[in-house]
Amino acid sequence: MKVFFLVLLQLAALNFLTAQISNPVDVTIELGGAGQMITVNSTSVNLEFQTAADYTDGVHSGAATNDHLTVGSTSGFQVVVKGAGDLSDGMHSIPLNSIVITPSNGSEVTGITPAYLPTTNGLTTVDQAIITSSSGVSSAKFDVDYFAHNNDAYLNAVGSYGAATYSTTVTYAILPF
Amino acid sequence: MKKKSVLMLLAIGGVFCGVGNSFAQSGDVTLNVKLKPILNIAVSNGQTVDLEFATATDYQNGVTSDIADHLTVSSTSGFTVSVKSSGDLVNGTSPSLPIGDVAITSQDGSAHPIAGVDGTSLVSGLALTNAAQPIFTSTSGTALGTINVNYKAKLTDDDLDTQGIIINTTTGEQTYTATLTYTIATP
Repeated sequence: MKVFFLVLLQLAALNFLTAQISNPVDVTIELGGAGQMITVNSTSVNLEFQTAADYTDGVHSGAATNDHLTVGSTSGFQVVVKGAGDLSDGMHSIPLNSIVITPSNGSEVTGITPAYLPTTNGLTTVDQAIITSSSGVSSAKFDVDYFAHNNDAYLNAVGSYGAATYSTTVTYAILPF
Repeated sequence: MKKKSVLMLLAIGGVFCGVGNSFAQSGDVTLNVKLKPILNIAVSNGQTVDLEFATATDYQNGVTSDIADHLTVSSTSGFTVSVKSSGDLVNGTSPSLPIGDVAITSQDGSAHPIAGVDGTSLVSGLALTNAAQPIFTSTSGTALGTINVNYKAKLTDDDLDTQGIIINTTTGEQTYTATLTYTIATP
């Protein structure tokens, strides 16, 4: 009877020891997510329509959004962009797809050959890839031009209010290529 | 063994917590489109319109001048273009000719066709006066939109017979002038 009891204790001790050792094996490491970063180097972008030519030709953000994005990735990546919704002044709206975003090389793009995909048909509320690279980069800077072009929608968005500011939030994200 | 395992977990966790905190995988920017109102009008054609009476037919039927894209207008909302004259047609010496002898017809021009224009907002054969009269109304805005203007001058029997000032000149011609002013306004 005494011998049998000791055996049971030993088995219990072995089980306990096994459990302690096997726990660390279950750690999951997601290198893809942790190895990417993106920073938007402006809190706001302003496109001002002041003249008749602005309304016929549209307005670019131009140099004001040079080096707009800083990106780092341990492997191939893509940068996607989307808008929160139509631009609104609180009461009225102008269409989100009247905004075209065009990326290009910024002051620091070394060791990669990215492909640039302007949002030709305008921004939407769904992610659109605008920069893709098959290889990673420790840090790259990209220019991003914002172009507001839909004069018909804008012309009558001022109305009798004197001046109007229409806003939306644009979100950039970095994903594996 | 147990202590080592725990230490390894803490170390790995620390590294990836640190990565997550300092490197963001997305970023926001507020996009503002600032629209300022515009309202202006310009007259093309060197700002001079000549109506020349040279033949008997001219005196009989009148003389016209079609000026395509005569007016260029911009407005960030619906608008009305009006015209008025400074007074009758004068030449400084002879009696004047009534400005009502000149009539205006307006049409949508070729550049940036103006939405919101319909036939009832245009004018056809509107006799000019010293008071502003609408010649073009749009319910929506335009940027650098253009308006065609046709001028027609037709002298009346009174001009020719009673005043007799046109055909009896010794110099062979007389020039009568008035200044027209176009104005754009929002309702």
